[in-house]
Amino acid sequence: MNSSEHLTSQYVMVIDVDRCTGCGACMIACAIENNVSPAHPDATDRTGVTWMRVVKVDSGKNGNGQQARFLPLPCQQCAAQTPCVTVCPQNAVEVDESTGIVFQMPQRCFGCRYCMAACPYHARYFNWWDPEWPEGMEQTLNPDVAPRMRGVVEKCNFCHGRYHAARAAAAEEGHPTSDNVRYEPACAQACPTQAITFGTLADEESGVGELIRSATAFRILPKLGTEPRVYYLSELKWIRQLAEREKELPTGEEVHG
Amino acid sequence: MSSTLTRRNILKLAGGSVLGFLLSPMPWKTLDDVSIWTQNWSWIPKVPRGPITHKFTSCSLCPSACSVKARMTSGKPVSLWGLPGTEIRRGALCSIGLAGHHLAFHPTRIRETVRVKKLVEGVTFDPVSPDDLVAHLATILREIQSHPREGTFALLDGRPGGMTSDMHRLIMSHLDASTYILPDAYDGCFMEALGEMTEEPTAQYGLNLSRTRTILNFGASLFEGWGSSPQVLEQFRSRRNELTIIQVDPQRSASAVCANHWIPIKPGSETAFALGLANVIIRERLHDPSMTARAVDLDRSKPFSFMDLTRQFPPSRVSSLTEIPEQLIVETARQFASDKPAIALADDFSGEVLHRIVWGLNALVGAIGKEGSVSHKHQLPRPWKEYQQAPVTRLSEIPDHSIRLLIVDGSLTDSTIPWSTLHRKLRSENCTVVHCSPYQPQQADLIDYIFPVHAPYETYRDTPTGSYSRKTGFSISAPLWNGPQGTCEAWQLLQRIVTTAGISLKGGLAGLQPSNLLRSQTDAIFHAKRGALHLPAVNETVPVIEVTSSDEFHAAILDGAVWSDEDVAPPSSGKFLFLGKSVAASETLVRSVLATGNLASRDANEFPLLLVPVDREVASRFAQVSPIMSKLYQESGLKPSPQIAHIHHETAERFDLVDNGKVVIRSTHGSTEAVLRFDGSVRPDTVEVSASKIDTIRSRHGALPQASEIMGHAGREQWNHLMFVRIERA
Repeated sequence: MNSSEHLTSQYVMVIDVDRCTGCGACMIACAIENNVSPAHPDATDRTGVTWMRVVKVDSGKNGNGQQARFLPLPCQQCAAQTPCVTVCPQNAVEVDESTGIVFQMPQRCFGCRYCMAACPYHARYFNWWDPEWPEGMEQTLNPDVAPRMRGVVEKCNFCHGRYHAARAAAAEEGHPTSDNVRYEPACAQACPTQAITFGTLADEESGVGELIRSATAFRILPKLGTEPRVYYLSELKWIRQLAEREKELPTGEEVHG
Repeated sequence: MSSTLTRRNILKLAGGSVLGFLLSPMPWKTLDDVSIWTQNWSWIPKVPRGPITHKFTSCSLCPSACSVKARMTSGKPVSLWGLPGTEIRRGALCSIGLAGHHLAFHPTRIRETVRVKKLVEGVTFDPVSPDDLVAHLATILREIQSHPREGTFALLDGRPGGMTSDMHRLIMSHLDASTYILPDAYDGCFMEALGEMTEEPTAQYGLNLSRTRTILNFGASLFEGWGSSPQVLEQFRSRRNELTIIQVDPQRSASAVCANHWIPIKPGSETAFALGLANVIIRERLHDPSMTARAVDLDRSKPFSFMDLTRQFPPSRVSSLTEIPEQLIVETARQFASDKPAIALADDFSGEVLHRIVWGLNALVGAIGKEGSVSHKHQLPRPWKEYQQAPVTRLSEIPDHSIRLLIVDGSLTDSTIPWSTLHRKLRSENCTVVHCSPYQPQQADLIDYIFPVHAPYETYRDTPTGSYSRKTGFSISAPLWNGPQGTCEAWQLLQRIVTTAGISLKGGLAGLQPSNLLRSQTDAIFHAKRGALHLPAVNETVPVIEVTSSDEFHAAILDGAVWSDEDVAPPSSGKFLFLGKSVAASETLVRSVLATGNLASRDANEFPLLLVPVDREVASRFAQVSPIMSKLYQESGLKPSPQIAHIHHETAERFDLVDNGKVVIRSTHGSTEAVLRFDGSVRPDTVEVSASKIDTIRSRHGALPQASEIMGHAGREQWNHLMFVRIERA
């Protein structure tokens, strides 16, 4: 496989910000799929574990003139100069060249949290406490994903359990297994307004290729050169400016995120 | 050759050994094993193993009744997913529905019958024998039957509309001195209010939004994430550019964020705003003549007319009441009346007065019975007739201090139980209150006994038509778990009490089991020979007339099929009442409306800020949610945590309050602690506090700060009731 084939066979997520209603279904679906436990009593928005986090951003004006939107923020799966890979002393983070997915391996992680400091998207989470479910609820855990212990970092991996299950299913059906097997992460499946699209550029049916070429597509902090594999769509200029941070905002306007 | 052991030899041996050891795989293997071992502590839960299967069912948590596909491991559910099914149930599971299978294990779950013991330091729950409780309640019921003057028996239904409600009413029809009560506000009461304004009080209405161009929303849950109409989500997804949503809301809710226009109205002035719109529509003759011709009390010649009422709310006055610019009121009215089909909606818990005025707005623009707005639908075919059932009485109609024995069915919802109003209705002495719920109640001070009932997905539960649904529908929420031993449905407790009291139940009610009940219901639908059956397993829709037998129909429903009724043509005539069915009723409504104009009755010095309760939908609709919802409330701040109050920074500066500071919020009803956060979207002179009583979050201090602590009786039961507070640094 040459490098251009690599790029087209790698997975891409496209999130339509104008369709997101901030319902949080993606966050809950993600937590259930990946066996992330309910919050510890002491957990806060800084110490919690939310692989997919939806944040409310606004255009900064007060009152009636203010616009707001919800911005779902999973790991951006950086394709170039992946900051977390560069800093990890344990090689606990790797980029899978065939799928483009940035994998976190909790078995190797010893919890130094360099990767969290390096991540410009704040998409990595540290387990400050052991995972704990109310009595009996552990029966509802996803059999495809092992719970992690305290002291390790974790993050979105585009539902790796589903990826492997899809490959296994394709193999069972006798299809020639390839790396870019079609599957859907939990957040995309759960979204009630279908704001999240997922697939590879090679898979034309997924529609991601067309979406990322649209005029309303943008990525977060592109000037860092990390080439995120998560794209966003919005017709609102202020939200693109907020995400790209490339231009000065109009005088007197601020953005809050 | 002599061999002597020198110091150099020892050092070489030691160095070589260390080097050799490091070059061997042993230390690295040991490190690897230790690493894996330390991540497999015995207290880290192990994932379940076993064969993977799938089961089709429906979600019973809210009236949207989304179709569900459950992924099962060894016969136990590990995840739930929405299914794109029929046109009435899109299968867009909300975050609460996605975690519905967790609810059987909620930490507040009640697994046995308990007596509530009230102590100074709080309440405790002491187990009692269910048979003893039934015998005790049967004795009280017998006394009530023989001495009705000493108090009555009442049953309050937390979520009416299903087979359980039918059973309550059928059993209670055999009793004297008994009343079947509905709360004054419940899911679907906004749509039901329309029936009372037409000549068809039993008519069923739904929404048909497939061509709607304008939605004017007074706080109904469109995009809050739960309880939302799947139809609204579908229209938002597929026709975003053709649909204009105007959100009238004191807070920048999720619906306000997603709306095309947000009108940040002064809390409590929504009715005045709606009347201001009606004033403009009538004055500029933008109203629909076909609908207004049907109106009985629009004209000024009647003693109390809608036209007279709206004349008292010109835009200039409404602007001062609502703090919305006059021009915006006029423009909103023009858009609503001209960009049609249009529909105005209101939150179920916003009160009867606002419901009436909003329906009046809909009538003015001809939205009732037209495509793209309000549609008619059939009643669900029932196995029992209305006359066989006990009549429905609203809680407000019950005389004060009259109830001696009260059973509260809080199986599906606890938060909507109007405990404070119930308190007034109970006899002050010698009265007994039994709460049927899967969970510990959020207000236990009135309750004497708690009888455990099934949690969601522990029994077969019908999921009848949602109030916003375009057509009538029916499906079953099938059990995915076995409930704790001894749990049953609330109607079965009533059945046991009545039979133990020696009162004979006719029509086979005495021995009726849930399975027979369900079969009776599916037979009634099958024999109506209407509509179609959607089979989720094969994603096919089959007309009911093509289903060969009632057995086949019943089996399909048990396997997760969804029945949807046929379309109904709207009646072309029929009278419409804007205000009330009598002069007295109209006068009462007009007085209530005029009272909404008086928004300044408070002591501004003592309580200078207006409380805006947020996250009302969860507080209103759900008995409990999964602890995993803490991701939204506690670990991300996406939804308003009960621990955090929001205020505009300019308001905060006036009261010398700081961002992220701890504060005490006081009202005439009490006080609560919270962390104050600045938010530019909060209206001046208001403070936003979560109304949610959901027990997913335990603060590190043990307490659970809630707006409900300071909202008082009326504030807890009607969200747009005004509540004034003051904030002090803690």
